[in-house]
Amino acid sequence: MIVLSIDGSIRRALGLIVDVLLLLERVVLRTLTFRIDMSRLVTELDRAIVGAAPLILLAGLGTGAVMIWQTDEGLARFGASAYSARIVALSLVRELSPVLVGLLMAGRAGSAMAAELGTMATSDQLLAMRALALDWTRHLVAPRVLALSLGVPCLVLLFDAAGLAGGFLVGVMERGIPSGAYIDATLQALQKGDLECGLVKGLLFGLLISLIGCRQGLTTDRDRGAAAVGAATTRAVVAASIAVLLADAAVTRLYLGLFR
Amino acid sequence: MEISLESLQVSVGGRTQIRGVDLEIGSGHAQVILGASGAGKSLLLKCINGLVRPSAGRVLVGGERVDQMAESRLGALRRQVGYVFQYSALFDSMSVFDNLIWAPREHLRLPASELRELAERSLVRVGLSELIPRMCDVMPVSLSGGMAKRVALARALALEPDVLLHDEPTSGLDPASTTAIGDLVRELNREGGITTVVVTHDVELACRIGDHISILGDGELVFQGTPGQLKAARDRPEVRCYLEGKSYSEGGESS
Repeated sequence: MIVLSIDGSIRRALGLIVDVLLLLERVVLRTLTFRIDMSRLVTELDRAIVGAAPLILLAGLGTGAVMIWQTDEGLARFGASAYSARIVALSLVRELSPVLVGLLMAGRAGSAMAAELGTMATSDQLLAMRALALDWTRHLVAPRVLALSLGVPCLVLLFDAAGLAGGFLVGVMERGIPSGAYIDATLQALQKGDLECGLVKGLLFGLLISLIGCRQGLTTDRDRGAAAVGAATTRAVVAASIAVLLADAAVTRLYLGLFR
Repeated sequence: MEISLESLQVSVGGRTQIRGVDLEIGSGHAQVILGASGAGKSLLLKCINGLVRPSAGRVLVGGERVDQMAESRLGALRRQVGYVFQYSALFDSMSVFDNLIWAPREHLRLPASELRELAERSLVRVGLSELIPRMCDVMPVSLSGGMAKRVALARALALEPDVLLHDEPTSGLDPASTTAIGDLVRELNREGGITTVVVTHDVELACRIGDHISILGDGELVFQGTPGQLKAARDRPEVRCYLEGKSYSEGGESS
């Protein structure tokens, strides 16, 4: 039974990868030939960036605040408090910010895409689009994929800013680190490449989350109705989260190999 | 625009749902396909505009092979072949107006004023003039079943098709709405000259709107003829079985 289950999981994973690549090809073709529904792209950008901004802001502030607390507390035991601000800045910008934004967006945007397209599949709306010769890649998929691919790097920047601000506030007000020293340490620690790495990760995560969310929605079993939409949504979040973590490891390895 | 199905065979999930169906539908005619649930009626309809690919046989619409047509070319065909879905399949995140103009805006590239006129004209054709002042605000979810069917029909009509395919146009409707929708389908066929194919399980509706009626039983056509010939053939076992809601096999009837 376990062997059969693993076999089935591998088949599903391979199917997902093939479908995502095919979907990516369609999106790239539409983008290169400017066949994208621009009004929907604007709507999706608004949903991806403006809609998610409060959540990202709050998560960033909280993460930065807790990180400086924990880091400074731990390093104080070894008399290394001077490194607290640097460690928080580096780990936030390089790693935590893109990964946490990726996971949050997998839950927020990936699930929404799967649920919306899945509902359209089960209520014959996707079929109606085909019957009316309307291109669902142009109207439904490409705007979502482009919006999230552009949106996640912006949200990563927002998370960076909120996280650094949260760390600064708690570091100065609660841990007693002088504000000037905190800012200097942060600026010394961060290099242009650290920010770039986070942005590249954000772009890749946005691409993966949206492609997986759209694929799971589009392949929803229309005959199983609401249960199929629920299953597609769950699969989208799980697959997108795993993809984010795997891609993070791959980009980190590549980045460290190229620039170190 | 004439339609021809030749030795059509359709398999879904390894199971043959339609076997060797031959059907000729003349330009401007109204063809009704009767059949019980699961007989393969909707599949047959979907083969006509290429939403489903047959496993064998030929589908010709206006002399062109649909069954071998690439998806890119099917787009042009589908603009001429309107499809009205069983449960309307209106785009529920859009207003009625947006539902009506989405396809024309994409394909006809009309200015906004003409799109509005087109939407109004389509609603008038399906008897929903009272919806015109509110069409930009009303969402499909707030429409009654009969109104949703009419809006779906208006959406298909907005592209001025030569062929209209109706999948169970009266399912789930009350008797008054059933009569009204039946009359509308017939009127569009008679006055508009639109080749019409209707799949339904409603014998009375079939006799009222069809020039020709076919009965699809277990994936095969068991009867073809005019409404008059159907009435005359009520005693034939395969026809009687369908009319009495029983399944039919060569060896005899079974319930």
